[in-house]
Amino acid sequence: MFLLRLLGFNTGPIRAIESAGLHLGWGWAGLVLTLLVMLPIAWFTYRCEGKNIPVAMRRRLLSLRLVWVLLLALLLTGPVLVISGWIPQKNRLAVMLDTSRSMSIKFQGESRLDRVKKLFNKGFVKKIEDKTGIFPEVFSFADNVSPVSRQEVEQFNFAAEGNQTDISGALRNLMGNLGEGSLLGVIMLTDGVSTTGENPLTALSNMRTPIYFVAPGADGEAPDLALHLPKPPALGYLNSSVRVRGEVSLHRLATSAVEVTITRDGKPFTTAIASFAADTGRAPFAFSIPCDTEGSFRFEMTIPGVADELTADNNSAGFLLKVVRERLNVLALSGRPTWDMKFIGNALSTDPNARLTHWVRIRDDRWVCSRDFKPERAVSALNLSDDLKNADVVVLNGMPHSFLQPVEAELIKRLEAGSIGMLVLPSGQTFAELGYAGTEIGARLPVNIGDELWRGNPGNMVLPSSETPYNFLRLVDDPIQNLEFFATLPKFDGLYEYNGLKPGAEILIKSTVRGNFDLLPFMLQSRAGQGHVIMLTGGPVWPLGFRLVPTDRGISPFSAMVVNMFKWLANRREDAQISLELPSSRGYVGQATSVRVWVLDSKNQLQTNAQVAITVRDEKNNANTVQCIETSERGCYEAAFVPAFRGLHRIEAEARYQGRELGRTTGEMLVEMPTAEFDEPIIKEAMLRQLASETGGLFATDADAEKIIAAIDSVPGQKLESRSLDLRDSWLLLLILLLLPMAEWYLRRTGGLS
Amino acid sequence: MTNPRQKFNRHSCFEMIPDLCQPTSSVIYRHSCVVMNPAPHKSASSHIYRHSRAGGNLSNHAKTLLLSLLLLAMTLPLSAGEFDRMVIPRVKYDGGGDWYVGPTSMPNLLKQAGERLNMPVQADNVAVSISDPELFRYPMLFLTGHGQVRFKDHEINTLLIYLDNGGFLWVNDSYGIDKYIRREIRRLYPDRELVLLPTDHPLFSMIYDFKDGLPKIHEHDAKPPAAYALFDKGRMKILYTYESDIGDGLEDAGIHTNDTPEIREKAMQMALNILVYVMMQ
Repeated sequence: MFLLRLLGFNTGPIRAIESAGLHLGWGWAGLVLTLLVMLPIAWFTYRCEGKNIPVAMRRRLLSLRLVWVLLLALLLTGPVLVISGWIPQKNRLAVMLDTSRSMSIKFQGESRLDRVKKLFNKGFVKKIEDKTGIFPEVFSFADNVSPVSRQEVEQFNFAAEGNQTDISGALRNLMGNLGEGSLLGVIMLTDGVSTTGENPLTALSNMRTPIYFVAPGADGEAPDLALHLPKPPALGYLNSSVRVRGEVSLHRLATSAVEVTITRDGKPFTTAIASFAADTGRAPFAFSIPCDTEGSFRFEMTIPGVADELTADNNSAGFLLKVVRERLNVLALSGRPTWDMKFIGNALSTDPNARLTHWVRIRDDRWVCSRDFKPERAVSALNLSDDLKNADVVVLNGMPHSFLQPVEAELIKRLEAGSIGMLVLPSGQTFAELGYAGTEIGARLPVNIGDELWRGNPGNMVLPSSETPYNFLRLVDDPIQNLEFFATLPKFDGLYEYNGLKPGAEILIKSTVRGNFDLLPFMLQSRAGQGHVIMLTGGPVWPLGFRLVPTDRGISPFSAMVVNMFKWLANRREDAQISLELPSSRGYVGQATSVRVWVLDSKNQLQTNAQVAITVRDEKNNANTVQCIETSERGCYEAAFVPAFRGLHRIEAEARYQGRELGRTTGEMLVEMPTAEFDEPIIKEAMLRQLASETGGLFATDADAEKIIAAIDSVPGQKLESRSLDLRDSWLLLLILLLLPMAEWYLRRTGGLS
Repeated sequence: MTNPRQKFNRHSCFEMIPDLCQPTSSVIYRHSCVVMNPAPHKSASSHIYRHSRAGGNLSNHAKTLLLSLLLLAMTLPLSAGEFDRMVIPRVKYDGGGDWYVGPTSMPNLLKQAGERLNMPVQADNVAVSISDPELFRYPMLFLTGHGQVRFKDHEINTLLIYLDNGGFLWVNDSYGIDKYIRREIRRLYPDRELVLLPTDHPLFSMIYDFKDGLPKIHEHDAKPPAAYALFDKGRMKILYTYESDIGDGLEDAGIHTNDTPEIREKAMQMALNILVYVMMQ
């Protein structure tokens, strides 16, 4: 340190050097090269003096010259001295307080938040300050993270009202704001119930800051009966039925069965029973809703309450069901007769609202058309003009593209507008052979056609996940059984492997056939504007319809799948110009719901640069207007709103373009209180212990929170700081560089050499 | 007798007809040009043995080569052109009737369907009984003979399920089957009657036009030819061609010496009409 000061350098806050290193700008090779150049020059000039110099003088002069050359060479190569040393640092400590609804769960007459309050009143925060010398920064978290002032900590006016908890998100948020490097630790007072966001165990496993958990109380002693309705249906079709599945869970209760009462628009509708097997706390229930009348209906399910229950909010759940008349007109175009289309037709015939028009090419000059499942006399040419106009779904079954050219533009236009869907079946010829490469229809398929490879390996269908969002793929009520059921379906002969999927394409069903890189997909879907395209890559599929034999009065799974898939493809919209798309017919208080609005102009083209707004009205007629933002999807505009009250909400969307109104549309949504916080009313002790252990922290309950304080490291903080010192900035070195030649001159003069 | 049904699980409301689709056996069918021994449960090796035994005069080297080629063919994947190849088996039944008569009729029909309609076909003579687990591999069945036809009780149940699920049965009267087949059809559908199809029914104009309805193939009792159909839930499930032996008309040239090429062509055209009608409805 003294030397550095002597050289004229300021080491800043570094008081003791931990390590130092010299770096040369030209590198050590540069220094060597410089010396190689300079030393010979110096020797030559010295040697050329040619005078009779005494040995001692020679040595002195040589030394001076050498030192000067070395110093000059060093300074030429850009020397930088990098020093590192510890400097004191002000550490920070954070206390995070869970204020979500699960903290209102009571134990021995006190809620979890009450126990935290008691802990605070005993001076928990002050004790931390005394131990570490740091006053911790306090935050509350539930839906989001909010800083809490000292005064608010002293008053402790918190309420357990947060609708959801995201533990990993809250911690990440905190680290981002405070900086993980200066954080001594985080003390989290929580029950561990994380209802949203990533799993804390996976999201936080790499965290370097110790997290100390204080769990207030123990598992909730109050019993609870809860009703869960994860995916209620939103749309039903006239003359069909809709299946509703839900679950009832028990906490600190034992019963063999719970009756679920279902009402429709306030009137008794039906009941369902959730039967509990021994030692299980969850039981499913299901019921069917026959859609025999058009309209919008509100269904409410209720289970009986129990005395001193944890919460009554989760004893009921509701949803809106809209029943529409489904004019399902299917137009099928086959390049030749196939069993697949026959059995798909059989399946469609089970729906009284479905109409199938099936054109089959026998020869180029011989076509047979079957309407409503009745073949007509053969004709000499294909005539699709009226049939395409009325169609809701088009099926392409090995039909050569040349026959579709006259109607291709109309088909694509309607597909993009969402008024028609498309199902594409495989055939013995590739799409390239059928002439689809480079065509408008080919461009809308989910795959890149042209390099199709037939893999004639029989295989099974595999659902990618047990929780498929597509109703037509739920052939069995139970998701796990549905997954197993798909694996037992009749094998197909083979499938096509394509050269990649297009962006946005989704695999609905995989296969057990391995391609070059992965298991090949069997069923794919993609969007073309507002329309949907489903494509099968292999087959045949008729064995599913032929070999699955219903033994009860229920519809066969294949028929259900076909009919529901076609209805999904039909994508029926009531207002062709403006249409509303809600993620679900149900929302939750305090949770954002996004709404998408699709806008078409008067020519039924997707409209960009429109001004779109949605107005949301609740049951009390409070209105909230939100402007929509145009998304990357053409003609699609999105907005989000956060409902503040429960009940039926009406959403009206309005679109304008250049000051002119394009149209309006309305939709409805039922908003309920979120009950996820009470789904598992237990302290997640195992998870908290594991997280604490992985991050170097500790777990304790509120009763022994003192050990947390004892465990917090109170060593004054310091951090390793580095500094770079350019030696060329040293005045002393510069002075030496100037003094050395002067010293030589002096020696020469005094030695009689000058 | 094995029960063709297999339970999926105790919670399901439907059952699965076992899928015995095995590429090995289908490829053997493709290469075997002899009458198939109606025992599809036999292993692949026994079929190969039967095939090679047919060429008993071949040298050992030739047999080895043939066997190698067969084995090689079994490992080759089907090309897309062979995707969903159609087979129309004949029904084996009890009662003593000659269910096996006219072994070349269905192979010839399938060959022509492949050539004229560009359909993938497997032009083999395949036979299957109603109680065979493989029944549900074939959406269309062909039944013919000259005499007694008798289904067992459980076969009636199975055939009902087969037809209700989308299957089709074409009964070809080779002369003498009439009273027996009508009895069996009554057992299947006691509350339904066979309906005579009018001459303007689409069946007679699917590919080829038959203005007068079913063509007369072979004399039999010199009665007019008649196409009877059984309809259930709006769909034709059984077609019974009476006083017109279309099956015989489909046979190889020379088998029925009285059949002129024109008669054989008429039989083929009508059979193709039937095939396409079945696939369209």
